[in-house]
Amino acid sequence: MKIKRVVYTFLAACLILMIHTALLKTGKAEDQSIVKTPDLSHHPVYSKYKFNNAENVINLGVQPLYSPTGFITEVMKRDAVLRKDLSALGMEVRFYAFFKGGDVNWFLRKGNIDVGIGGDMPAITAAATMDTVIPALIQQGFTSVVANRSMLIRELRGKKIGYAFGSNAHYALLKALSSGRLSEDQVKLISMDVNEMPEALQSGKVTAFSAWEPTPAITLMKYPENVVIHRYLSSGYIYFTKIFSDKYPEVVRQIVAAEIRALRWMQSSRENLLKASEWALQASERLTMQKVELSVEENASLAEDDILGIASAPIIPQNDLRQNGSLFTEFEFLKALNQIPASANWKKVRGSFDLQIMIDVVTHSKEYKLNEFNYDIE
Amino acid sequence: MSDNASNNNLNEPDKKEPGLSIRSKMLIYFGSIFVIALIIFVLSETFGVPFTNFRGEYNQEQSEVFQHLNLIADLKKERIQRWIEERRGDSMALSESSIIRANIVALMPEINRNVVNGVYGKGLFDKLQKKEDYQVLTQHLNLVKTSYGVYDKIQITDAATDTIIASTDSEDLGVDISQHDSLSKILHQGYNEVIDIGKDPSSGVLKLFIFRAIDLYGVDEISAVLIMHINPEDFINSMLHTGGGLGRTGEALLINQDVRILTTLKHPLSNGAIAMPLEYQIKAEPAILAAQGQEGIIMTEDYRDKAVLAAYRHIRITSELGWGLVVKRDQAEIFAPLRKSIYYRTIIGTFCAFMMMGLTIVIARNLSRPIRRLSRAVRDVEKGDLSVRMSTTSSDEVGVLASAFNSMIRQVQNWNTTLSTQVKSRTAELEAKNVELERYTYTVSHDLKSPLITIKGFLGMLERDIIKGDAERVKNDMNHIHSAADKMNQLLDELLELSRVGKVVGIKEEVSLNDLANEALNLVAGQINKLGMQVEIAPDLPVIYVDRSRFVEVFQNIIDNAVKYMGKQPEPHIEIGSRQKNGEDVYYVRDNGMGVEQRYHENIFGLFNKLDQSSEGTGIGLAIVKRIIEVHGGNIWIESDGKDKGTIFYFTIAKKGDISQP
Repeated sequence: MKIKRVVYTFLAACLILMIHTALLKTGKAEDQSIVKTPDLSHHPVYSKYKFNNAENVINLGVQPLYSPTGFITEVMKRDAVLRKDLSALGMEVRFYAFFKGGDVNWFLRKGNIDVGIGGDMPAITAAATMDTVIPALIQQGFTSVVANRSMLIRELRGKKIGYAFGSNAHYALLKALSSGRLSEDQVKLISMDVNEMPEALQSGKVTAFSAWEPTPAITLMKYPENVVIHRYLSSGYIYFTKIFSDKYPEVVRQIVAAEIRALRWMQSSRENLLKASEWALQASERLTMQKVELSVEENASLAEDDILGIASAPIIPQNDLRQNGSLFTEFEFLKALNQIPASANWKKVRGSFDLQIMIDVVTHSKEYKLNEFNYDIE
Repeated sequence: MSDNASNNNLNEPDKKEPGLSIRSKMLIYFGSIFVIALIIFVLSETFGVPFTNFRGEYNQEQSEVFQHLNLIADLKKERIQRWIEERRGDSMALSESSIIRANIVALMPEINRNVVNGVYGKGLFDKLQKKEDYQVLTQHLNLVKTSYGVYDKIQITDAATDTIIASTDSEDLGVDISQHDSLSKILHQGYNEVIDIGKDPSSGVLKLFIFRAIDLYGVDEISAVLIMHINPEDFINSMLHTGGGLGRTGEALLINQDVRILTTLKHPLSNGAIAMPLEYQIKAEPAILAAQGQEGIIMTEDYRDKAVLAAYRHIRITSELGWGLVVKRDQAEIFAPLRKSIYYRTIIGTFCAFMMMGLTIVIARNLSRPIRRLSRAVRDVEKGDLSVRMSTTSSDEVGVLASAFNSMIRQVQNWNTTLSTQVKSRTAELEAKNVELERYTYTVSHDLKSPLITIKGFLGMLERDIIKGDAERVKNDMNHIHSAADKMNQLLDELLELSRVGKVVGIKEEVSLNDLANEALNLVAGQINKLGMQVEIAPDLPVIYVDRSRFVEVFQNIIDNAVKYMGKQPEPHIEIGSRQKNGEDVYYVRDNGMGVEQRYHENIFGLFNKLDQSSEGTGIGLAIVKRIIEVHGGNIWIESDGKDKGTIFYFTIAKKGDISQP
């Protein structure tokens, strides 16, 4: 009788453990309402920013942690040609660093900045919820899902995954899950900043995370046992408020020209690319107050393909803007996430992409000094 | 249920239906445990342990297969990217070449003039080939073409007229290519370079085109466009060649953004048809994902509807152009060694399971053997054979059990012997009692009959005397009848008293023998005084644990008996005392009366036994005394040296606690 009791107790304990484990495994996505962009007025970094709202000052929000966008904006920041041309227009530009595109949009909506740089998800959000003009691509790069071991996407069922809500990486993660026949409800999503992700993965807090470069590269370099299990090609854009664009069309073109110039300058020599890499690392470290665990060379190698791949001009691919194209799909995805109102109109978003500005600039390369390089190299 | 039925049930052995034997149970329990443990072991070893880092051979092997396929896919992607980069580098170098730029500048006025005049093709070539500049230009282009061995054709187009002004193929000269989208992108949409893949309209052959703007005059204006034609199949096919690294079924294929194949497929389609590049659109998932810009690994079905493991990659060529690369291998081939391993594990596991079962049978048989022996022995005992004994050679629990069994059986045997003896003794006792009872019945009926006969006789006499009217005799008759009735009443009272002794329970208490003797003497004081009898009670007689009233009765009857049978003793004397005999207290009442002959010593305590039939009394008194003494766990006897030598009544009683409370 005693043995029977022990056996039954053991079986009951096993059953309870299995049910408990099954419940843990079938984790629901966390309440998304809590991960929406909060009020950033009191953000420890952003609250120190003194935005200059004078008419002649262009406030430009950049993302140093978004590679290789960080390279381009750091080069633009040191562009003496831009400063001179803007000065000729009676304007000056100031750069403000942000952690992610959602934060850029928050300050854009508030009117603190006039120009933003963000991935396709923040750019579409801005285009759908504000009046914006998107004249240029700023990068095309892969967003990766990094896991603690080699696995199929379907093996992520019930696992915890780190992500940044509403970002490119969020979309890339959903695309990945979809390729493994999984939905958001079948995994446990943990919202976190990208700089927290490598340690979260290593400590086992999450089984995988989805992030843009250089976070995956840093993770693989620091913890080589981790594996990229999925990548998704996403884009980044530079976008202006429509009020600003309408008021200062020439300034918009000068800034786009500065972007092309920066790309061409980096493409023109390895030395320039390394310099830009150094500046980008410094900017990241200034923002996060943490050392980036990548050397200048490593950082440059990571960005190289994305920068060279853009070729001579960051023209927005027309294919992406087609109905049912990649941007349209992402627009629908954001609506499904309630990141943009259900009433948001694709036509309005599509209309925000102004391809003519880029054509104007590249077909007047001499006027916009696309091949004239003068950077503040200390 | 009646008592008889209950007794029958108690005597009946428990008849249980035979269930599973211990050996069978051991076989089932341990066999199941062995098999389950073995299955868990094999499964864990193969598929890993959930919620731990131990992933098992299957998962480990699967990871390695994934890594291998991913590695091949990455290598092929890198090779294709590098190859494209090289081609882009070639186009850039050629567009920047001072020889080309200088010669085009020199030829441009002549070309424009002929084109305006409608001279194209062979006519234009005939005119230009005589020019040294053109010869140098075409020689340079041909040199590049032949030395690289990659390009089918290299052309230069005039940006102003959209016509080909120089080519490695003379037939192309003067041809208008303004309808080409890629040229339009260069000339009107700000592109510096355009890479495209498609069929050559003239040959229908798949071509990769690289268009690159040429700024002849260094004024940031496009004046000519370099067009390089490449037949990609020769090179890409070699790059996609999987060799032995991907086994027999391995394949790498390239698709464009519309998921159309760019290379020929290794296998025919599921319907047996051969797919043509740029015509066949793949519906398989990895190709679609790769074309959409995704990269990863997936288990799915390919264009043949066969289960494959596929690594898919996106090769971005420009911001507008990207290709999909799929490296795949049939799952059947990939997992064949693993499945074989699992198959052999299962076979070995099953063999081990049978071995375990066999071992379990042997162990179960050995362990259960003594228990089965014990079981047989118990059955023998049940049948009445108490001679069976178990072997107690082992010192384990079974040995202890066997030893205990033997001891138990010995005990049962002893109890059996003792009970048999007791039964014999009790039977003899019962027979004696029966004899006594018969005698008692006879005596009672005889003694009760005597007064009845007297009454009956005197009733007849009374009748006659009444008829005679003799009042004196009537009175005498009546007295006799009264006397007989009183005698009968006394007899019945005493018999009732006798029967009560031992049945009506009195409370026992500790009482001094002196007190009991004095109390009894008080009750017979009249007779003692009448005879002038001396009574001597020993001082400090012990305290006894008895029913007080009954023991007063004992002393009263013995003293009364002594008084009755004192005879003509001039100095009648009674002594009450006690002494030790064989470590036991023996109490006595001694008189110096008539004494009792030896032959009466035994039956003096019998019912209605009187030595002197003329004496008063019923002859029940000493029977009551004997009964009271026996009820108190004692014994009574007399000693007398004969007639006129006096009598000693000895008795013993059980000490407190020696007999159970009646």
